[in-house]
Amino acid sequence: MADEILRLEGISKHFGGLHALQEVSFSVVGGEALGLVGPNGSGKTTLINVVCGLYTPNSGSIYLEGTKLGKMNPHRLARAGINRTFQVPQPFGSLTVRENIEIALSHRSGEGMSLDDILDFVNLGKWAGQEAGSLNAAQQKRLDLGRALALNPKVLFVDELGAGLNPVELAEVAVMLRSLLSGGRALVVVEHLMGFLDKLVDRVIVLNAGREIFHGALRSALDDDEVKRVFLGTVGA
Amino acid sequence: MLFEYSIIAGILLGLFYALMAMGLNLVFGVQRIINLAHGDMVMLGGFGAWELYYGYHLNPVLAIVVMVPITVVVGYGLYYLLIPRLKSAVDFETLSLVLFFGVSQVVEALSALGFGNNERSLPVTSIPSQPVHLFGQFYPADWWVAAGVALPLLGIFFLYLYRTRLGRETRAVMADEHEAVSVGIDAGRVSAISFGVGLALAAAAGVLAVFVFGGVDPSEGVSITITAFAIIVFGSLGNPLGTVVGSILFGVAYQLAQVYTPSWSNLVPYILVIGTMLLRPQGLFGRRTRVA
Amino acid sequence: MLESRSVEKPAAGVFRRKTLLLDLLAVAVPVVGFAFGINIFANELLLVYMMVYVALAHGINISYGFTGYLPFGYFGFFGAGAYGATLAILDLHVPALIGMLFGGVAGVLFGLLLLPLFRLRGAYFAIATLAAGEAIADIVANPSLQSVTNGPYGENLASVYSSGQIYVAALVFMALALLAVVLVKNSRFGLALRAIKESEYSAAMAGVNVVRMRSLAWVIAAAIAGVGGAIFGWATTVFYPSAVFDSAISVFAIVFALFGGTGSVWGPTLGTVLLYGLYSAVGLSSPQYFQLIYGLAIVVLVLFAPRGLVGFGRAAGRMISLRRAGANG
Ligand SMILES: Nc1ncnc2c1ncn2[C@@H]1O[C@H](COP(=O)(O)OP(=O)(O)OP(=O)(O)O)[C@@H](O)[C@H]1O
Ligand SMILES: [Mg+2]
Repeated sequence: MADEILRLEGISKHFGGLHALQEVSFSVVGGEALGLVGPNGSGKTTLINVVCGLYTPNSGSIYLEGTKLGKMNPHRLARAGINRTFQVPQPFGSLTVRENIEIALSHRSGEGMSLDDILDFVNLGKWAGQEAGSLNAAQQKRLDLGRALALNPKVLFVDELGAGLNPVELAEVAVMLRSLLSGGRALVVVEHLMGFLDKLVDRVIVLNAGREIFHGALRSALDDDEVKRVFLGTVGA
Repeated sequence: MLFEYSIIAGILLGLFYALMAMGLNLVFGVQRIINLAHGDMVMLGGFGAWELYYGYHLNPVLAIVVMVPITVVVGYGLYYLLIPRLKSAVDFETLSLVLFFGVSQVVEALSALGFGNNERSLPVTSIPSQPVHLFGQFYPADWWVAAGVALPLLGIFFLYLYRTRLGRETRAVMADEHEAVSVGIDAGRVSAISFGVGLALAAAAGVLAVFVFGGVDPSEGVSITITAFAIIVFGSLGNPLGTVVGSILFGVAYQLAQVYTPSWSNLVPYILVIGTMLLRPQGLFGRRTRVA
Repeated sequence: MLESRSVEKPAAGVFRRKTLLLDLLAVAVPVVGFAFGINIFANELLLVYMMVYVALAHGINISYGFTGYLPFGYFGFFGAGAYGATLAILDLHVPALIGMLFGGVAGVLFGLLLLPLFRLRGAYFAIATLAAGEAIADIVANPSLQSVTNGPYGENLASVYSSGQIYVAALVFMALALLAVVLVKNSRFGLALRAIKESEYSAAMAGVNVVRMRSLAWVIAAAIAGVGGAIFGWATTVFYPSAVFDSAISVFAIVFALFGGTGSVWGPTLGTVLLYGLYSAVGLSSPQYFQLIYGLAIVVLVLFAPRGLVGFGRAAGRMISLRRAGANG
């Protein structure tokens, strides 16, 4: 049994009267990729924002490697090993690609990939001196991933990295993400594309309207009546 | 006694403040622009009334009728001159703020050059001037005139906003510009007209301000802008009715300060704006805004 | 296209050393210029004011150019500094030079008081500082505080006037402000500020302590305004609250910085020397003309040249290097 990296217990988050997350609990272990799926607006990004400290949850607790995290600023969580990519990447547009990564590298205390390793990994070596704002959308997403990797996260949330990619690119990204599991890292992958998830994750959590409605293998999720209804409902709407 | 006086005076002046602040909120609601030159438009309205009174013997209240259509047209043109160029900028919000800061400087300087640096006032006899006696207190007549003129003007504005086609389109753009465009509304034209209407409201308030403030001078713009901004933030940005309620509460608070601690009363708008932004950025009526 | 451009870039190390050198020159040239300028151009007070404005424009540079927060109420820090220094000199009897530091402390204290305003987004922040500036002006000038600040009647520093000391103080102050900008620009701190300006969330997820970095920049900007106001008050000798709490001070500093170009070390200095020089050359008799010209300058700059003079220079440089690249390729 691998070590537990991250555990959420009863996380709720409200925006005014809107219950974006209700009593969500799960955990991930090292070397595992967990899928997080759900229709639009079901609370996936909100969950990431809560775990990363951008939003304070209304209730619930988060544990990193067994230690309960109090209210912490996002930069401290990032340094502690929780990181994410953004659904809409927001690179530092007027800085070069290299500087974008260097900023994050300068806050890493332990071991990890070097600048060149990272640039190679996200396939941006050729653009290192280029302003990040001039990259195309797919490149900006890879840069965002590179920025997250620079802090050598123990658990990495990936928010719809696959959206807008063609099948060839998708297959590459799946391989890329799977290679990140080595060294006991945990991965939480938010994705709408089931085929993509199938190649990548062992388990999925399905959210609907902020509530967990399914937890288990991806295949059985696709057979689950409630999951089917939720997804067909949104497809039909 | 003094307390009741403050309440009544506050309500009277509150209606005037509502007129003074409404245009700023309209422009913000439609374009997400804070028109830092708003107070200078109020000031220009005052000078306009002065010129019309001494040049053409026009009663200040009638001056409003003359100025409203002119300012709508001027604002319409000004919009197309300044805004479309900016819309594409990344930092639209701050840049537009700096831009209107510049416009405010230009207007202030031109007014000082054209009208001189001294305060100008209109004779009280140009409007009904018999103080009004109520519950054992005297209230200056010009407060009643200001409230009496502001109230119907606000009424007309609300009719425009809620009962006309253009008003409906304006509210659609306020709610969501992209949605509005996608149902065929010409958001540019609506914004330009709103900008004109905002200026007209400011100019109308400016005429009354000559009496309420006891005069008009070129440097008064900044403090008027801040006061108007304090009111619209307090009453919730983008919410016209909130501006009316916010104005009346502000009027009362200001009058209470005037009565009980006159030398510190000028701080009221500053405290109001900073306090609101820090403690309740969405304002009284809680519509989610983009403050924080 | 993209790849060929990236090849043109020199190696990072060389590039950085070159810009650092240019930046240090941007400190040395004005310092030497003002040190010797007094021998050529005898209007000492004007040069002192100009140095103060160079520093103020760089305060705006740090706060707006690097951090993206525009303090319209910058004059509030300036006035706080003037009064802080004056009270220290007249009531605590500290030497005038030490009094200047008290001015900086007053600016910083006022700045710390306003730190909660950073919860606001840019435009709201700008206006909130304006309200704060007007508020502190009203408080200081309030007749109820006459025993402390002399209320609306102003202050008099004639007893400690010393033209030589004032000039040296202004020169050292300007040099320090310029050095601060060079440090900010060429350090990890500056990189972090630029990152925060682009995206606060991404910066936080890159491990940047957003709150601390931004507060630090703010405190530097506040200290500059505080000391600037102190030196201005000392040089002016007799001043009313309306002279040091004047929104025109914010206007000037912002225009100079924007005109020259923010985010650089040369820009705001050039902007100040050119525009303030013009202002003084034409004469102070009718300040409205300058308000008019500066107002128009802001409008034109925002609409047509949001990057200022330095932006023109960079654009020209890029065109030249592109043409050269074209010739080689
Ligand atoms: N800052 C916020 N303020 C108010 N409501 C918010 C905020 N952030 C998210 N929400 C709301 O919370 C709900 C969940 O949003 P979230 O972005 O987490 O969904 P999601 O599952 O990531 O959807 P998608 O697949 O479209 O990315 C939505 O109704 C959204 O409008
Ligand atoms: Mg999402």
